[in-house]
Amino acid sequence: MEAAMFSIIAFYILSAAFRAFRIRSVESSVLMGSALILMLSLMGALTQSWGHVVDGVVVSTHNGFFDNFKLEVIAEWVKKYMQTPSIRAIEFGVGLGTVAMGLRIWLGLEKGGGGA
Amino acid sequence: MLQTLQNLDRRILYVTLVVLCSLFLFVPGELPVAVDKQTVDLYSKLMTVPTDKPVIIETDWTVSTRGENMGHLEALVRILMARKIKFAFFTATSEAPAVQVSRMVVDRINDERKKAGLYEYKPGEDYISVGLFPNTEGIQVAMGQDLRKAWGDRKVKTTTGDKGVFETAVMKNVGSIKDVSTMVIITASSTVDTAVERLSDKVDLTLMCTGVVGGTSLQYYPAQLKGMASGLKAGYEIEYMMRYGVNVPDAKGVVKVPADRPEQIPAITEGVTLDRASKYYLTLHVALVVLILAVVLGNVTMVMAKRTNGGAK
Repeated sequence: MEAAMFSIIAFYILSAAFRAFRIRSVESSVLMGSALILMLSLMGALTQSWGHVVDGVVVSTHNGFFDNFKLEVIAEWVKKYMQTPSIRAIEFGVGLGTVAMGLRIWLGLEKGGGGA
Repeated sequence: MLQTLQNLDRRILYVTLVVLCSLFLFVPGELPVAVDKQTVDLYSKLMTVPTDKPVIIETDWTVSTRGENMGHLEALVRILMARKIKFAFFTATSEAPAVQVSRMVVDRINDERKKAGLYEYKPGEDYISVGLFPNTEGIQVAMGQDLRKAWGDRKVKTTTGDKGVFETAVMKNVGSIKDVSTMVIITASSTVDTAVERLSDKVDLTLMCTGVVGGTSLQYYPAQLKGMASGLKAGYEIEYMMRYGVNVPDAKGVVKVPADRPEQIPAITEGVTLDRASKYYLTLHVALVVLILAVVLGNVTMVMAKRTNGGAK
């Protein structure tokens, strides 16, 4: 049952990708760009082929900077410097909010809900 | 043409996905892969843990995520069995089938080894299944405080009948969780979060999780998690390292898995290496290509429609 439910999600994702994932603003373009990089980085055959192209450029130009254009390097950068800090920030926010609400209830300042 | 694309029946998309994914499941082949640092760390950890201490596996997944987690558990069990490391596995989630699917995986790998003439792991002597604990955080807290009390009342199957967990050869020398070499969490949910909160200062934690959970768990690496494998790609990476090792040159001097570390980590020399994740990895490529094409096609259709309508929405 669970496996079937999870499998069905694949169809909805595909349908949504075709009908709803439209580039209409700068924000959606950024989202699309990062999603594309991460999806491409999951494809080992592609990352290896592109990696060989980048290696060729690095060798011919003697410039290691071009190594940064490897798909896995870009994906790693996105995950390390954009995704992880965002998640940490959200979790810190949730934690601080929970502490603040706990204090308000404890001090009798919260009159609605559980404090009523 | 434009009208046809705009009004494309979603059933055509569904059939395209089913046909392509099903077809490529049967195409054998080994794909190259660039291995992530956290997966190399996980493999390195598993290949270097002492063989005289047991490993604890927390296996919190069911068939809904078998595409990712079953490959993870299979690879893990193969590595442990190849290194002759004893292990205990348990489930810390309210989903009861999680215990059964894990037992089935261990039994299947054991059968596979038996057929290949390799050493067969015996319940009670080489591994134990501790069973289900439905309160995730409760059992993790208890394990951190006193493993003997947390698991003490459990009876496990052995070759000589049911025995207490700490009467078995696997756990008899374990006084607390600190006597365990590492704990591997295989999960499809947030059970890793509480494990990190409650156990990361007591035992080396490593993680094998679905791609979805991996996104939010990456923040724990490398401080609280000593290595992690996220999603199907990482499952394939583990199998790939089992086949080729890390920083190990082949007969032609080619290093298939180069890593930014000085030492070599050997490959697994017995039993199956490339298996489930390898079979699914090509299909993952196909599914992602279909997805990307769907996004591109959808946007091209939108742009064409705008031009046709003179820029009107």
